[in-house]
Amino acid sequence: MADLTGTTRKSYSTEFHLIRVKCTGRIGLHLIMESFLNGADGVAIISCHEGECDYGRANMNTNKHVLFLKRIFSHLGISEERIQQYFCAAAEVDNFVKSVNDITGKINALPPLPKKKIKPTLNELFK
Amino acid sequence: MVNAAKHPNITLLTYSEITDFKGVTGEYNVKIKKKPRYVNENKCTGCGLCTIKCPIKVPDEFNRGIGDRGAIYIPFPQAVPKYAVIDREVCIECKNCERNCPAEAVDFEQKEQLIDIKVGAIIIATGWDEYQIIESNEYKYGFYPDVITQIELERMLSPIGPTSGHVYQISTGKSPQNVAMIQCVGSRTLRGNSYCSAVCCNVALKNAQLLKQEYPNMEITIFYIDIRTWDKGNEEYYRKIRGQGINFIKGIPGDIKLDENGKMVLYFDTAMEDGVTKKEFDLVVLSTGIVPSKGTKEISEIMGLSRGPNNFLSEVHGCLKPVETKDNGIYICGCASGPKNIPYSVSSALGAASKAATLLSNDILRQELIIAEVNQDLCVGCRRCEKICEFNAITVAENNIASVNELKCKGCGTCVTSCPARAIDLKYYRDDQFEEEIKGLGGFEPQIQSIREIMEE
Repeated sequence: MADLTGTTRKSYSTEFHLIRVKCTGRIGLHLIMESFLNGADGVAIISCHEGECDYGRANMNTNKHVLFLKRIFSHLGISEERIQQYFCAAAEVDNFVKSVNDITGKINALPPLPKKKIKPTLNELFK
Repeated sequence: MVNAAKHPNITLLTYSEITDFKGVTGEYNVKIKKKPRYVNENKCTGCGLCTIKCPIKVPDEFNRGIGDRGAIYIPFPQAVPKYAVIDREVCIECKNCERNCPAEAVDFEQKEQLIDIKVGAIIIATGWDEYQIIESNEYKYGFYPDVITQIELERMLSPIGPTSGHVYQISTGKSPQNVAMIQCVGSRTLRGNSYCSAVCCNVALKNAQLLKQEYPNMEITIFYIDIRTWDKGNEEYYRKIRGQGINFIKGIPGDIKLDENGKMVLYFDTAMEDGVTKKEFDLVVLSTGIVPSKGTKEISEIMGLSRGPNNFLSEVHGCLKPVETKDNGIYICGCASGPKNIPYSVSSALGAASKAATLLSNDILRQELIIAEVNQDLCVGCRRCEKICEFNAITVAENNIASVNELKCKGCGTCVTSCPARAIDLKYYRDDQFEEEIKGLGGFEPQIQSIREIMEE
Protein backbone atom coordinates (compact mmCIF):
# COMPACT_ATOMS: atom_id res chain seq x y z
CA MET A 1 0.00 0.00 0.00
CA ALA A 2 2.92 2.31 0.59
CA ASP A 3 4.18 1.55 -2.93
CA LEU A 4 0.79 2.36 -4.37
CA THR A 5 0.64 5.56 -2.34
CA GLY A 6 3.91 6.61 -3.86
CA THR A 7 3.04 5.75 -7.44
CA THR A 8 -0.26 7.61 -7.17
CA ARG A 9 1.75 10.63 -5.97
CA LYS A 10 -0.04 11.04 -2.67
CA SER A 11 2.06 12.51 0.09
CA TYR A 12 2.24 11.65 3.74
CA SER A 13 4.21 12.88 6.72
CA THR A 14 8.03 12.60 6.64
CA GLU A 15 8.07 11.96 10.34
CA PHE A 16 6.65 8.52 9.66
CA HIS A 17 9.16 5.69 9.23
CA LEU A 18 8.18 2.36 7.72
CA ILE A 19 9.32 -1.07 8.82
CA ARG A 20 8.12 -3.87 6.60
CA VAL A 21 6.99 -7.25 7.93
CA LYS A 22 5.53 -10.23 6.13
CA CYS A 23 2.52 -10.30 8.45
CA THR A 24 1.65 -8.01 11.36
CA GLY A 25 1.28 -11.22 13.39
CA ARG A 26 5.07 -11.02 13.80
CA ILE A 27 4.75 -7.77 15.73
CA GLY A 28 4.08 -8.35 19.38
CA LEU A 29 4.89 -6.76 22.71
CA HIS A 30 8.62 -7.15 22.18
CA LEU A 31 8.96 -5.28 18.90
CA ILE A 32 6.65 -2.45 19.96
CA MET A 33 8.64 -1.88 23.15
CA GLU A 34 11.92 -2.11 21.18
CA SER A 35 10.71 0.82 19.10
CA PHE A 36 9.86 2.92 22.14
CA LEU A 37 13.14 2.05 23.83
CA ASN A 38 15.08 3.19 20.75
CA GLY A 39 13.55 6.59 20.38
CA ALA A 40 10.08 6.25 18.88
CA ASP A 41 7.41 8.60 20.15
CA GLY A 42 4.62 6.44 18.81
CA VAL A 43 4.06 3.15 17.02
CA ALA A 44 1.41 2.51 14.36
CA ILE A 45 0.62 -1.02 13.20
CA ILE A 46 -1.11 -1.16 9.84
CA SER A 47 -2.57 -4.59 9.22
CA CYS A 48 -5.12 -6.30 6.98
CA HIS A 49 -8.83 -6.03 7.77
CA GLU A 50 -10.38 -8.35 10.31
CA GLY A 51 -11.28 -11.64 8.67
CA GLU A 52 -8.90 -11.04 5.77
CA CYS A 53 -5.71 -12.24 7.38
CA ASP A 54 -3.95 -14.66 5.02
CA TYR A 55 -2.61 -16.54 8.02
CA GLY A 56 -5.80 -17.03 9.99
CA ARG A 57 -6.18 -14.49 12.77
CA ALA A 58 -2.63 -13.19 13.20
CA ASN A 59 -3.69 -9.53 12.86
CA MET A 60 -6.22 -9.89 15.68
CA ASN A 61 -3.63 -11.66 17.83
CA THR A 62 -1.40 -8.61 17.51
CA ASN A 63 -4.43 -6.48 18.37
CA LYS A 64 -4.59 -8.26 21.73
CA HIS A 65 -0.97 -7.29 22.36
CA VAL A 66 -1.73 -3.70 21.36
CA LEU A 67 -4.72 -3.40 23.72
CA PHE A 68 -2.69 -4.92 26.56
CA LEU A 69 0.12 -2.43 26.05
CA LYS A 70 -2.34 0.45 25.96
CA ARG A 71 -3.61 -0.56 29.39
CA ILE A 72 -0.07 -0.80 30.76
CA PHE A 73 0.78 2.59 29.32
CA SER A 74 -2.22 4.18 30.96
CA HIS A 75 -1.07 2.76 34.31
CA LEU A 76 2.43 4.10 33.71
CA GLY A 77 1.19 7.58 32.91
CA ILE A 78 2.12 7.42 29.22
CA SER A 79 -0.62 8.36 26.79
CA GLU A 80 -2.52 5.40 25.29
CA GLU A 81 -2.65 7.23 22.00
CA ARG A 82 0.99 6.45 21.33
CA ILE A 83 0.22 2.93 20.07
CA GLN A 84 -2.43 2.54 17.40
CA GLN A 85 -3.50 -0.28 15.12
CA TYR A 86 -5.09 0.56 11.80
CA PHE A 87 -6.85 -1.83 9.42
CA CYS A 88 -6.12 -1.18 5.79
CA ALA A 89 -6.16 -3.41 2.71
CA ALA A 90 -3.24 -3.47 0.30
CA ALA A 91 -4.82 -1.23 -2.30
CA GLU A 92 -6.50 1.33 -0.01
CA VAL A 93 -4.31 4.37 -0.61
CA ASP A 94 -6.63 6.93 0.98
CA ASN A 95 -7.07 4.79 4.07
CA PHE A 96 -3.29 4.48 4.43
CA VAL A 97 -2.72 8.23 4.10
CA LYS A 98 -5.54 8.90 6.57
CA SER A 99 -4.03 6.46 9.10
CA VAL A 100 -0.57 8.00 8.79
CA ASN A 101 -1.91 11.53 9.19
CA ASP A 102 -4.02 10.36 12.13
CA ILE A 103 -1.11 9.00 14.12
CA THR A 104 1.30 11.82 13.28
CA GLY A 105 -1.40 14.26 14.40
CA LYS A 106 -1.89 12.39 17.64
CA ILE A 107 1.83 12.15 18.40
CA ASN A 108 2.50 15.77 17.52
CA ALA A 109 -0.12 16.83 20.03
CA LEU A 110 1.73 14.96 22.78
CA PRO A 111 5.06 15.92 24.38
CA PRO A 112 8.11 13.97 23.14
CA LEU A 113 9.20 11.01 25.26
CA PRO A 114 12.50 11.39 27.17
CA LYS A 115 15.31 9.94 25.08
CA LYS A 116 17.56 8.51 27.74
CA LYS A 117 18.84 5.02 28.35
CA ILE A 118 19.39 4.26 31.96
CA LYS A 119 22.34 2.03 32.69
CA PRO A 120 22.77 1.13 36.34
CA THR A 121 26.30 0.17 37.38
CA LEU A 122 26.61 -2.95 39.49
CA ASN A 123 27.67 -0.94 42.55
CA GLU A 124 24.54 1.11 42.51
CA LEU A 125 22.35 -1.93 42.09
CA PHE A 126 23.63 -3.57 45.25
CA LYS A 127 24.09 -0.50 47.42
CA MET B 1 -19.92 -41.96 -12.83
CA VAL B 2 -19.78 -45.31 -14.60
CA ASN B 3 -16.57 -44.35 -16.38
CA ALA B 4 -14.98 -43.40 -13.10
CA ALA B 5 -15.99 -46.74 -11.60
CA LYS B 6 -14.53 -48.73 -14.49
CA HIS B 7 -11.20 -46.89 -14.79
CA PRO B 8 -8.30 -49.15 -13.74
CA ASN B 9 -6.59 -46.39 -11.77
CA ILE B 10 -9.67 -45.44 -9.76
CA THR B 11 -10.81 -47.34 -6.66
CA LEU B 12 -14.25 -46.46 -5.32
CA LEU B 13 -14.71 -46.85 -1.57
CA THR B 14 -18.41 -46.24 -1.06
CA TYR B 15 -20.40 -46.50 2.18
CA SER B 16 -17.19 -45.52 4.01
CA GLU B 17 -16.01 -42.85 6.45
CA ILE B 18 -12.68 -41.22 7.19
CA THR B 19 -11.76 -41.91 10.80
CA ASP B 20 -8.26 -40.51 11.08
CA PHE B 21 -5.99 -38.20 9.16
CA LYS B 22 -2.32 -37.34 9.61
CA GLY B 23 0.55 -36.13 7.56
CA VAL B 24 1.95 -33.36 5.45
CA THR B 25 1.71 -32.39 1.77
CA GLY B 26 2.72 -35.27 -0.42
CA GLU B 27 2.47 -37.84 2.36
CA TYR B 28 -0.91 -38.06 4.01
CA ASN B 29 -1.94 -41.12 6.05
CA VAL B 30 -5.70 -41.64 5.92
CA LYS B 31 -7.62 -44.25 7.89
CA ILE B 32 -10.95 -45.30 6.43
CA LYS B 33 -13.77 -47.36 7.93
CA LYS B 34 -15.74 -49.25 5.28
CA LYS B 35 -19.19 -49.96 6.71
CA PRO B 36 -20.69 -53.39 5.97
CA ARG B 37 -23.47 -53.43 3.40
CA TYR B 38 -24.12 -57.17 4.09
CA VAL B 39 -23.86 -57.86 0.35
CA ASN B 40 -20.70 -59.29 -1.16
CA GLU B 41 -19.53 -56.72 -3.71
CA ASN B 42 -17.53 -59.29 -5.65
CA LYS B 43 -20.66 -61.34 -6.34
CA CYS B 44 -23.59 -58.90 -6.55
CA THR B 45 -24.64 -58.11 -10.13
CA GLY B 46 -27.16 -55.39 -9.28
CA CYS B 47 -30.05 -57.38 -10.78
CA GLY B 48 -32.44 -56.18 -8.08
CA LEU B 49 -34.23 -59.51 -7.51
CA CYS B 50 -33.64 -59.24 -3.74
CA THR B 51 -35.37 -55.87 -3.60
CA ILE B 52 -38.55 -57.39 -5.03
CA LYS B 53 -38.53 -60.31 -2.58
CA CYS B 54 -38.12 -58.19 0.54
CA PRO B 55 -41.35 -58.03 2.61
CA ILE B 56 -40.48 -54.78 4.39
CA LYS B 57 -41.66 -51.40 3.10
CA VAL B 58 -40.19 -48.14 4.43
CA PRO B 59 -40.22 -44.62 2.90
CA ASP B 60 -37.63 -44.22 0.17
CA GLU B 61 -35.08 -41.45 0.88
CA PHE B 62 -34.18 -40.94 -2.77
CA ASN B 63 -37.83 -40.29 -3.63
CA ARG B 64 -38.16 -38.07 -0.55
CA GLY B 65 -40.77 -40.35 1.01
CA ILE B 66 -43.05 -40.44 -2.04
CA GLY B 67 -42.73 -44.15 -2.68
CA ASP B 68 -41.03 -46.87 -0.67
CA ARG B 69 -38.14 -49.26 -0.63
CA GLY B 70 -37.36 -52.54 1.12
CA ALA B 71 -34.84 -53.29 3.86
CA ILE B 72 -32.53 -54.52 1.07
CA TYR B 73 -32.43 -51.97 -1.69
CA ILE B 74 -30.46 -50.30 -4.47
CA PRO B 75 -30.52 -46.54 -3.78
CA PHE B 76 -31.63 -45.52 -7.28
CA PRO B 77 -31.54 -47.16 -10.72
CA GLN B 78 -28.37 -45.35 -11.87
CA ALA B 79 -26.43 -45.95 -8.64
CA VAL B 80 -22.68 -46.42 -8.97
CA PRO B 81 -21.51 -48.96 -7.85
CA LYS B 82 -24.69 -50.89 -8.45
CA TYR B 83 -24.78 -53.17 -5.40
CA ALA B 84 -27.65 -53.77 -3.01
CA VAL B 85 -27.34 -52.70 0.61
CA ILE B 86 -29.25 -53.92 3.69
CA ASP B 87 -30.63 -51.45 6.21
CA ARG B 88 -30.28 -53.57 9.37
CA GLU B 89 -32.40 -51.17 11.40
CA VAL B 90 -35.56 -52.27 9.58
CA CYS B 91 -34.49 -55.73 8.42
CA ILE B 92 -36.33 -58.61 10.14
CA GLU B 93 -33.78 -61.17 8.93
CA CYS B 94 -36.32 -63.36 7.17
CA LYS B 95 -33.46 -64.24 4.77
CA ASN B 96 -35.79 -64.12 1.74
CA CYS B 97 -33.16 -62.11 -0.14
CA GLU B 98 -30.43 -64.61 0.70
CA ARG B 99 -32.52 -67.53 -0.49
CA ASN B 100 -33.52 -65.88 -3.78
CA CYS B 101 -30.20 -64.30 -4.80
CA PRO B 102 -28.97 -66.06 -7.94
CA ALA B 103 -25.38 -64.97 -7.26
CA GLU B 104 -25.43 -65.92 -3.53
CA ALA B 105 -24.19 -62.46 -2.73
CA VAL B 106 -26.08 -61.75 0.51
CA ASP B 107 -23.84 -62.11 3.56
CA PHE B 108 -25.36 -61.25 6.92
CA GLU B 109 -22.03 -61.90 8.66
CA GLN B 110 -20.13 -59.20 6.80
CA LYS B 111 -17.94 -57.08 9.11
CA GLU B 112 -16.68 -53.53 8.76
CA GLN B 113 -13.26 -53.12 7.16
CA LEU B 114 -10.51 -50.77 8.33
CA ILE B 115 -8.34 -49.48 5.51
CA ASP B 116 -5.10 -47.50 5.75
CA ILE B 117 -3.93 -45.60 2.71
CA LYS B 118 -1.11 -43.18 1.88
CA VAL B 119 -1.93 -40.39 -0.53
CA GLY B 120 -0.14 -37.32 -1.83
CA ALA B 121 -3.06 -34.95 -2.33
CA ILE B 122 -6.69 -34.79 -1.28
CA ILE B 123 -9.75 -33.27 -2.97
CA ILE B 124 -12.88 -32.72 -0.91
CA ALA B 125 -16.14 -32.57 -2.85
CA THR B 126 -18.71 -33.37 -0.19
CA GLY B 127 -21.49 -31.41 -1.88
CA TRP B 128 -24.73 -30.05 -0.52
CA ASP B 129 -27.93 -31.04 1.23
CA GLU B 130 -31.34 -29.45 1.07
CA TYR B 131 -32.35 -26.84 3.59
CA GLN B 132 -34.25 -28.84 6.20
CA ILE B 133 -37.57 -27.09 6.17
CA ILE B 134 -39.14 -29.92 8.19
CA GLU B 135 -37.37 -28.41 11.22
CA SER B 136 -38.90 -24.97 10.91
CA ASN B 137 -42.22 -25.91 9.24
CA GLU B 138 -42.19 -22.69 7.25
CA TYR B 139 -45.33 -22.23 5.15
CA LYS B 140 -46.83 -25.12 7.16
CA TYR B 141 -44.58 -27.67 5.42
CA GLY B 142 -45.16 -30.95 7.22
CA PHE B 143 -48.61 -29.86 8.41
CA TYR B 144 -50.40 -29.24 5.13
CA PRO B 145 -49.90 -32.23 2.80
CA ASP B 146 -49.96 -30.13 -0.38
CA VAL B 147 -46.97 -27.97 0.51
CA ILE B 148 -43.93 -29.64 -1.07
CA THR B 149 -40.36 -28.77 -2.06
CA GLN B 150 -38.94 -28.47 -5.58
CA ILE B 151 -37.05 -31.75 -5.24
CA GLU B 152 -40.23 -33.58 -4.23
CA LEU B 153 -41.92 -32.06 -7.28
CA GLU B 154 -39.03 -33.25 -9.46
CA ARG B 155 -39.40 -36.80 -8.17
CA MET B 156 -43.07 -36.70 -9.12
CA LEU B 157 -42.29 -35.25 -12.55
CA SER B 158 -39.63 -37.88 -13.27
CA PRO B 159 -40.94 -40.47 -15.76
CA ILE B 160 -39.14 -43.24 -13.81
CA GLY B 161 -40.13 -41.81 -10.44
CA PRO B 162 -42.69 -43.07 -7.92
CA THR B 163 -45.69 -41.53 -9.74
CA SER B 164 -44.40 -42.14 -13.30
CA GLY B 165 -44.39 -38.45 -14.11
CA HIS B 166 -47.87 -37.51 -12.89
CA VAL B 167 -48.23 -34.72 -10.38
CA TYR B 168 -50.93 -35.24 -7.75
CA GLN B 169 -52.20 -33.36 -4.77
CA ILE B 170 -51.50 -35.62 -1.81
CA SER B 171 -54.76 -34.60 -0.11
CA THR B 172 -57.20 -35.30 -2.97
CA GLY B 173 -55.23 -37.49 -5.39
CA LYS B 174 -56.22 -35.23 -8.27
CA SER B 175 -53.97 -33.11 -10.50
CA PRO B 176 -53.68 -29.56 -9.20
CA GLN B 177 -55.13 -26.74 -11.31
CA ASN B 178 -53.40 -23.89 -9.52
CA VAL B 179 -49.74 -24.16 -8.50
CA ALA B 180 -47.69 -21.58 -6.57
CA MET B 181 -43.89 -21.62 -6.36
CA ILE B 182 -42.28 -19.62 -3.58
CA GLN B 183 -38.63 -18.64 -4.08
CA CYS B 184 -35.90 -17.98 -1.50
CA VAL B 185 -37.25 -20.31 1.19
CA GLY B 186 -34.50 -20.59 3.78
CA SER B 187 -32.19 -18.40 1.68
CA ARG B 188 -31.60 -14.63 1.65
CA THR B 189 -33.39 -14.40 5.00
CA LEU B 190 -32.73 -13.92 8.68
CA ARG B 191 -35.12 -16.81 9.38
CA GLY B 192 -32.79 -19.33 7.70
CA ASN B 193 -29.56 -18.58 5.84
CA SER B 194 -28.49 -15.16 4.64
CA TYR B 195 -26.84 -16.25 1.38
CA CYS B 196 -28.40 -16.84 -2.04
CA SER B 197 -28.46 -20.50 -3.02
CA ALA B 198 -27.64 -19.71 -6.68
CA VAL B 199 -29.69 -22.46 -8.32
CA CYS B 200 -33.30 -22.27 -7.11
CA CYS B 201 -34.49 -19.62 -9.60
CA ASN B 202 -33.37 -21.73 -12.55
CA VAL B 203 -34.82 -24.86 -10.96
CA ALA B 204 -38.21 -23.20 -10.46
CA LEU B 205 -38.27 -21.99 -14.08
CA LYS B 206 -37.42 -25.45 -15.37
CA ASN B 207 -40.03 -27.18 -13.22
CA ALA B 208 -42.67 -24.61 -14.19
CA GLN B 209 -41.92 -25.25 -17.86
CA LEU B 210 -42.12 -29.05 -17.35
CA LEU B 211 -45.46 -28.70 -15.55
CA LYS B 212 -46.86 -26.50 -18.29
CA GLN B 213 -45.79 -28.99 -20.95
CA GLU B 214 -47.49 -31.86 -19.10
CA TYR B 215 -50.59 -29.92 -18.02
CA PRO B 216 -51.19 -27.05 -20.49
CA ASN B 217 -54.23 -25.74 -18.59
CA MET B 218 -52.44 -25.52 -15.25
CA GLU B 219 -52.01 -22.01 -13.82
CA ILE B 220 -48.53 -21.53 -12.37
CA THR B 221 -47.50 -18.48 -10.32
CA ILE B 222 -43.94 -17.88 -9.17
CA PHE B 223 -43.46 -15.57 -6.15
CA TYR B 224 -39.98 -14.03 -6.13
CA ILE B 225 -37.71 -11.34 -4.71
CA ASP B 226 -35.47 -11.29 -7.81
CA ILE B 227 -35.24 -13.78 -10.63
CA ARG B 228 -31.56 -14.67 -10.60
CA THR B 229 -30.95 -16.18 -14.02
CA TRP B 230 -27.21 -15.74 -14.38
CA ASP B 231 -24.87 -17.82 -16.55
CA LYS B 232 -25.29 -18.74 -20.21
CA GLY B 233 -28.76 -19.05 -21.69
CA ASN B 234 -30.75 -18.70 -18.49
CA GLU B 235 -32.04 -15.16 -19.04
CA GLU B 236 -33.23 -16.15 -22.53
CA TYR B 237 -35.01 -19.17 -21.02
CA TYR B 238 -36.74 -16.91 -18.49
CA ARG B 239 -37.94 -14.53 -21.21
CA LYS B 240 -39.25 -17.45 -23.26
CA ILE B 241 -41.38 -19.04 -20.56
CA ARG B 242 -42.56 -15.73 -19.17
CA GLY B 243 -44.52 -15.29 -22.35
CA GLN B 244 -46.05 -18.76 -22.18
CA GLY B 245 -48.61 -18.39 -19.45
CA ILE B 246 -46.49 -18.65 -16.33
CA ASN B 247 -47.20 -15.74 -13.95
CA PHE B 248 -44.51 -13.95 -11.96
CA ILE B 249 -45.35 -11.95 -8.85
CA LYS B 250 -42.68 -9.82 -7.16
CA GLY B 251 -43.48 -10.36 -3.50
CA ILE B 252 -42.92 -13.27 -1.13
CA PRO B 253 -46.09 -14.56 0.60
CA GLY B 254 -46.29 -14.11 4.35
CA ASP B 255 -48.15 -17.22 5.35
CA ILE B 256 -50.53 -19.91 4.25
CA LYS B 257 -53.94 -20.55 5.73
CA LEU B 258 -56.90 -22.83 5.00
CA ASP B 259 -60.21 -21.20 4.02
CA GLU B 260 -63.73 -22.51 4.93
CA ASN B 261 -63.61 -25.07 2.13
CA GLY B 262 -60.26 -26.43 3.25
CA LYS B 263 -58.35 -24.95 0.30
CA MET B 264 -54.97 -23.34 0.80
CA VAL B 265 -54.85 -19.54 0.60
CA LEU B 266 -51.63 -17.54 0.23
CA TYR B 267 -51.43 -13.97 1.54
CA PHE B 268 -48.96 -11.71 -0.25
CA ASP B 269 -48.06 -8.06 -0.79
CA THR B 270 -46.68 -7.32 -4.24
CA ALA B 271 -44.76 -4.43 -5.70
CA MET B 272 -47.46 -4.10 -8.35
CA GLU B 273 -50.55 -3.49 -6.19
CA ASP B 274 -51.46 -1.78 -2.95
CA GLY B 275 -52.32 -3.73 0.16
CA VAL B 276 -52.33 -7.42 0.94
CA THR B 277 -53.86 -9.78 -1.63
CA LYS B 278 -54.91 -13.38 -1.18
CA LYS B 279 -55.24 -16.20 -3.66
CA GLU B 280 -56.21 -19.87 -3.54
CA PHE B 281 -53.81 -22.60 -4.62
CA ASP B 282 -54.07 -26.39 -4.91
CA LEU B 283 -50.33 -27.04 -4.61
CA VAL B 284 -47.56 -24.90 -3.15
CA VAL B 285 -43.98 -25.70 -4.14
CA LEU B 286 -41.21 -24.24 -1.99
CA SER B 287 -37.82 -23.47 -3.57
CA THR B 288 -35.69 -24.44 -0.59
CA GLY B 289 -32.01 -23.59 -0.67
CA ILE B 290 -28.64 -25.30 -0.38
CA VAL B 291 -26.79 -26.03 2.87
CA PRO B 292 -23.43 -27.79 3.34
CA SER B 293 -23.85 -31.58 3.31
CA LYS B 294 -24.23 -33.54 6.51
CA GLY B 295 -20.65 -34.86 6.78
CA THR B 296 -18.92 -31.55 6.01
CA LYS B 297 -18.56 -30.49 9.64
CA GLU B 298 -17.04 -33.83 10.69
CA ILE B 299 -14.58 -34.00 7.82
CA SER B 300 -13.43 -30.42 8.34
CA GLU B 301 -12.70 -31.21 11.99
CA ILE B 302 -10.83 -34.44 11.22
CA MET B 303 -8.70 -32.78 8.54
CA GLY B 304 -8.21 -29.42 10.26
CA LEU B 305 -9.94 -27.31 7.62
CA SER B 306 -11.66 -24.05 8.35
CA ARG B 307 -15.31 -23.31 7.64
CA GLY B 308 -16.92 -19.96 6.94
CA PRO B 309 -19.81 -18.40 8.86
CA ASN B 310 -22.33 -20.50 6.93
CA ASN B 311 -20.35 -23.73 7.51
CA PHE B 312 -19.22 -24.13 3.92
CA LEU B 313 -15.52 -25.06 3.67
CA SER B 314 -13.23 -22.01 3.37
CA GLU B 315 -10.98 -21.45 0.40
CA VAL B 316 -7.75 -19.48 0.77
CA HIS B 317 -8.90 -16.60 -1.43
CA GLY B 318 -12.41 -16.31 -2.84
CA CYS B 319 -11.34 -14.81 -6.17
CA LEU B 320 -7.76 -15.91 -6.78
CA LYS B 321 -7.55 -19.30 -5.08
CA PRO B 322 -11.04 -20.79 -5.07
CA VAL B 323 -9.99 -24.43 -4.80
CA GLU B 324 -7.10 -24.27 -2.32
CA THR B 325 -7.21 -24.56 1.46
CA LYS B 326 -4.64 -23.32 3.94
CA ASP B 327 -3.17 -26.84 3.96
CA ASN B 328 -1.16 -27.08 0.74
CA GLY B 329 -2.27 -30.41 -0.73
CA ILE B 330 -5.92 -30.45 0.30
CA TYR B 331 -8.25 -28.98 -2.30
CA ILE B 332 -11.99 -28.28 -2.23
CA CYS B 333 -14.48 -28.01 -5.05
CA GLY B 334 -18.15 -28.02 -5.87
CA CYS B 335 -20.85 -27.05 -3.42
CA ALA B 336 -18.68 -28.04 -0.45
CA SER B 337 -17.22 -24.53 -0.68
CA GLY B 338 -20.45 -22.68 -1.53
CA PRO B 339 -23.63 -22.88 -3.61
CA LYS B 340 -22.88 -23.36 -7.30
CA ASN B 341 -24.69 -24.31 -10.46
CA ILE B 342 -23.56 -27.27 -12.56
CA PRO B 343 -21.12 -25.54 -14.98
CA TYR B 344 -19.45 -23.68 -12.10
CA SER B 345 -19.26 -26.88 -10.05
CA VAL B 346 -17.68 -28.81 -12.92
CA SER B 347 -15.15 -26.02 -13.57
CA SER B 348 -14.12 -25.92 -9.94
CA ALA B 349 -13.73 -29.70 -9.94
CA LEU B 350 -11.50 -29.52 -13.01
CA GLY B 351 -9.49 -26.81 -11.26
CA ALA B 352 -9.02 -28.88 -8.12
CA ALA B 353 -8.02 -31.95 -10.15
CA SER B 354 -5.53 -29.89 -12.12
CA LYS B 355 -4.02 -28.46 -8.93
CA ALA B 356 -3.67 -31.92 -7.41
CA ALA B 357 -2.12 -33.30 -10.59
CA THR B 358 0.37 -30.43 -10.79
CA LEU B 359 1.37 -30.96 -7.18
CA LEU B 360 1.95 -34.68 -7.67
CA SER B 361 3.75 -34.35 -10.99
CA ASN B 362 6.75 -32.74 -9.30
CA ASP B 363 9.42 -34.67 -7.43
CA ILE B 364 10.12 -31.70 -5.20
CA LEU B 365 8.01 -29.37 -3.12
CA ARG B 366 8.84 -25.69 -3.05
CA GLN B 367 8.78 -23.98 0.31
CA GLU B 368 9.65 -20.41 1.27
CA LEU B 369 12.65 -19.98 3.53
CA ILE B 370 10.84 -17.52 5.79
CA ILE B 371 9.82 -20.05 8.43
CA ALA B 372 10.02 -20.27 12.20
CA GLU B 373 12.98 -21.76 14.05
CA VAL B 374 13.25 -22.92 17.66
CA ASN B 375 16.27 -22.23 19.86
CA GLN B 376 16.40 -25.52 21.73
CA ASP B 377 18.37 -24.08 24.65
CA LEU B 378 15.71 -21.52 25.51
CA CYS B 379 12.50 -23.49 24.92
CA VAL B 380 10.64 -24.42 28.13
CA GLY B 381 7.91 -26.53 26.53
CA CYS B 382 4.99 -24.33 27.58
CA ARG B 383 3.16 -25.18 24.33
CA ARG B 384 1.86 -21.67 23.74
CA CYS B 385 3.25 -21.71 20.19
CA GLU B 386 1.71 -25.13 19.51
CA LYS B 387 -1.74 -23.87 20.48
CA ILE B 388 -1.60 -20.57 18.64
CA CYS B 389 -0.34 -21.89 15.29
CA GLU B 390 -3.19 -21.81 12.76
CA PHE B 391 -1.47 -24.34 10.52
CA ASN B 392 -0.65 -26.91 13.24
CA ALA B 393 2.99 -26.66 12.21
CA ILE B 394 4.50 -26.83 15.70
CA THR B 395 4.67 -29.94 17.85
CA VAL B 396 6.18 -30.29 21.30
CA ALA B 397 7.94 -33.62 21.58
CA GLU B 398 8.38 -35.76 24.71
CA ASN B 399 11.61 -33.97 25.57
CA ASN B 400 9.42 -30.86 26.02
CA ILE B 401 11.05 -28.89 23.24
CA ALA B 402 9.05 -27.46 20.39
CA SER B 403 9.89 -28.29 16.81
CA VAL B 404 8.59 -26.69 13.64
CA ASN B 405 7.37 -28.75 10.70
CA GLU B 406 9.19 -26.96 7.90
CA LEU B 407 6.66 -27.89 5.25
CA LYS B 408 3.61 -26.66 7.14
CA CYS B 409 5.00 -23.37 8.45
CA LYS B 410 3.81 -20.35 6.46
CA GLY B 411 6.02 -17.76 8.16
CA CYS B 412 3.39 -15.56 9.78
CA GLY B 413 5.32 -15.06 13.02
CA THR B 414 2.41 -15.43 15.44
CA CYS B 415 4.33 -18.08 17.41
CA VAL B 416 7.19 -15.61 17.92
CA THR B 417 4.91 -13.16 19.73
CA SER B 418 3.48 -15.88 21.94
CA CYS B 419 6.76 -17.28 23.28
CA PRO B 420 7.50 -16.06 26.82
CA ALA B 421 11.10 -17.27 26.63
CA ARG B 422 11.84 -15.69 23.20
CA ALA B 423 12.88 -19.17 22.10
CA ILE B 424 11.20 -19.20 18.67
CA ASP B 425 12.12 -16.73 15.97
CA LEU B 426 11.22 -16.11 12.36
CA LYS B 427 14.07 -16.56 9.86
CA TYR B 428 14.90 -13.37 7.90
CA TYR B 429 12.72 -11.40 10.34
CA ARG B 430 14.63 -12.09 13.51
CA ASP B 431 14.46 -10.02 16.67
CA ASP B 432 18.04 -8.74 16.33
CA GLN B 433 17.46 -7.77 12.71
CA PHE B 434 14.50 -5.65 13.80
CA GLU B 435 16.55 -4.17 16.62
CA GLU B 436 19.20 -2.93 14.22
CA GLU B 437 16.61 -1.57 11.82
CA ILE B 438 14.79 0.29 14.57
CA LYS B 439 18.05 1.72 15.93
CA GLY B 440 18.91 2.97 12.47
CA LEU B 441 15.57 4.72 12.13
CA GLY B 442 15.71 6.24 15.59
CA GLY B 443 18.23 8.83 14.39
CA PHE B 444 19.57 9.78 17.79
CA GLU B 445 22.36 8.75 20.06
CA PRO B 446 20.81 7.52 23.26
CA GLN B 447 22.47 9.19 26.20
CA ILE B 448 23.57 6.58 28.63
CA GLN B 449 23.43 7.75 32.19
CA SER B 450 23.85 5.93 35.43
CA ILE B 451 21.12 5.97 38.04
CA ARG B 452 23.35 7.91 40.43
CA GLU B 453 23.65 10.82 38.00
CA ILE B 454 19.91 10.93 37.45
CA MET B 455 19.23 10.95 41.16
CA GLU B 456 21.67 13.78 41.61
CA GLU B 457 19.95 15.96 39.01
